[in-house]
Amino acid sequence: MYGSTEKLLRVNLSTGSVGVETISEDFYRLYPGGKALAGYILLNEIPAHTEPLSPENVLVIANGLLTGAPVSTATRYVVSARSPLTNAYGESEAGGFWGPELKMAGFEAIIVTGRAAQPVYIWIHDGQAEIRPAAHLWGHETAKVQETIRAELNDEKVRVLQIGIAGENLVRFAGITNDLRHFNGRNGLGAVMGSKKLRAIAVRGKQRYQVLAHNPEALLALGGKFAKGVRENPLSWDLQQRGTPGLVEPLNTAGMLPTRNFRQGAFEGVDEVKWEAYEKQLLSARRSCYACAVRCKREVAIDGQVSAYGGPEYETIGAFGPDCGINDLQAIAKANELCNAYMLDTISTGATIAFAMECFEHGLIGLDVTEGIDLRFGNTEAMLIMVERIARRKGFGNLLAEGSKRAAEQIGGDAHFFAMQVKGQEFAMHEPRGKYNVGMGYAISEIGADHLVVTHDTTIANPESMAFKNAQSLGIRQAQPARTLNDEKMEQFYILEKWNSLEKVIGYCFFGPAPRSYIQPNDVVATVNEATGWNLSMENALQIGERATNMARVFNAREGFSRKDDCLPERLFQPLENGALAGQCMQHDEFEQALTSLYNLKGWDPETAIPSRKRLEELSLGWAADLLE
Amino acid sequence: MRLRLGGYLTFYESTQQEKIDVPLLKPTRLREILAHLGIPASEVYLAVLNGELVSLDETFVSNSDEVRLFPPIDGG
Repeated sequence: MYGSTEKLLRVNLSTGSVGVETISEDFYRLYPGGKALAGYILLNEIPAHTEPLSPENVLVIANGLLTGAPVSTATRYVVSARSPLTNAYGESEAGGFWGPELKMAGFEAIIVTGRAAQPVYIWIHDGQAEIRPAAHLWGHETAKVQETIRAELNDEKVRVLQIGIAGENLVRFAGITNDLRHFNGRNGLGAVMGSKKLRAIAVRGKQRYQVLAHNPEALLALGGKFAKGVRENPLSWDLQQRGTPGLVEPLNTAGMLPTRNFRQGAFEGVDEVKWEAYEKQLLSARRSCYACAVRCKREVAIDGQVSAYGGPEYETIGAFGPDCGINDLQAIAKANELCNAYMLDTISTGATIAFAMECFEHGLIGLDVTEGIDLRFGNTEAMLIMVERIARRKGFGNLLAEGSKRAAEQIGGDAHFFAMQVKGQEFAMHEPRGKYNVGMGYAISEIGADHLVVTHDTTIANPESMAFKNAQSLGIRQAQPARTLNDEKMEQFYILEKWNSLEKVIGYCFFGPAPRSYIQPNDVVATVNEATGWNLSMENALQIGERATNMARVFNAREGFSRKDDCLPERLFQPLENGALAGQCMQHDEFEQALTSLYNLKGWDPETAIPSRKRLEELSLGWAADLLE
Repeated sequence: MRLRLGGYLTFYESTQQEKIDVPLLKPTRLREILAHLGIPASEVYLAVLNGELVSLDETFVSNSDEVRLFPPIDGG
């Protein structure tokens, strides 16, 4: 068995026990890592209807199959549990250095059960693990906690994954960070760690990945090809030059920059928040994840001081900037820093504040509720105060810490109309009225609104484009306009969803493989084969991705989710107010028809959105079909 | 004309500059200008002439114009 340490670490925080389990080759082939491994464990170990913040919830942290390999962009791990934000299957990926270090320490994944009586952290090193007290870490900012852990373990190279005070306070969109600069932001999984009184997991290992690989020379050659290729491909070259902040201006020009809680698609203050301003005002360096040649991460200086927490990504700029009507880049960077010091998801935090701003402007909440804060769009000071109050669950922040869906239910009236969320998770900063498959991804994703379900429509809309040609090796046949949901488009969705799900199983970043970026799909499959000694075809590989998605769907079906939950907020069926797409919107009939077509392609019942036994058995998931009977 | 290349279109410009001046002796079709500069039209998603969205084929550009071009925009 190649490419794997074969070991899973199990930690029961209620009993204080630590154990090591091994996996078989047969198991590894079906659930080789990341989303697939986590999905299997969640579905088998979390009893139906488990309260997400109870000790019975199970937290899984699983490396991708390739994580730790000397392969550019294959650095990621997934965190999974039942989500306190959505009450559905929960999942969030991150890059950085922590995942590769876990592999070097001898483990594929960690399974955390129970709840500690007092705050703790887990220390993992070279095949061993122990639970250590963390009462002295509780209540502190993430930078301080990382420094303290490294000092007490007497090793500056220890990699620290941790929550912040937002997770301790059970904010429903609290995230998890590693190395202070890489984030499992989405789905509130930091609150699950907080509910278990688990502040951090520190790792250090010395095992080299290459001793595990089936053909280390061939794998290294592919890694070298990918490292060199970054600067030869325009898509990856641009990610290196500008990083994600480079998206701000083009999206604004296209009328797809979410502005004022998705009412508008263009922001009059775009010049103050676009890449050129970022480069001039904030940028101090470009940084990377383990073995990654793309180097899309930004380091920034705020008020002349280099931030320990890295720079705001596009999503963060969008959420605290245009979506809140704010054009102050320094304030956006400050909000990013606060979120990372307290460990809040920047997308849900910004989007929930934007939701509250619209409620305030419509008179659904007043100064009495906000405790005197003039929570209008564009009020920078109010935005920063609310970030603090959400993390500390103080005053009105206590309500917003529940997320926009629950807050809307409490506020009442038309507030639900302003909550831009699906299954309780707030939209990322991508406008579905200009990219219909992104809207379909928001609707159908098992984890709630997620922008990484499929390649965005605009990327492959031109049949002559490089990205479309690269997508053809996945089986994409025809280019389609961005603003349609016809049957051919659903075929595209079905294929691309499997592909992106596969990336989350293997550990590849969205910014590695084509069609979004530069690594050819056949080379992605080749890396898996050289690591494992398998002989996977593209079809076999896509089936691994489909299997992972279906486990998540079965998890949700067991919790009562159905077609009615694969929906979009009414605002998307109403016209955008300004910009290049002014007056444009999605159509209910087209959306519902497309949903039916997509369920049929997936082998899911079009009325219930539950996978058929036949399809589950085709995916070697007959055992999951049994769970639904 | 003043040309501004957005996103990865800069990659195709010979000196990888975002802003370049392209002297035009007469009004010229935008698609022909791109061909001359080696920028593939298939990678251009948005063309903006003096602040207005335009098409590559139907648009003629004069020496006093400003053109901004953007490639397709994905997520992340």
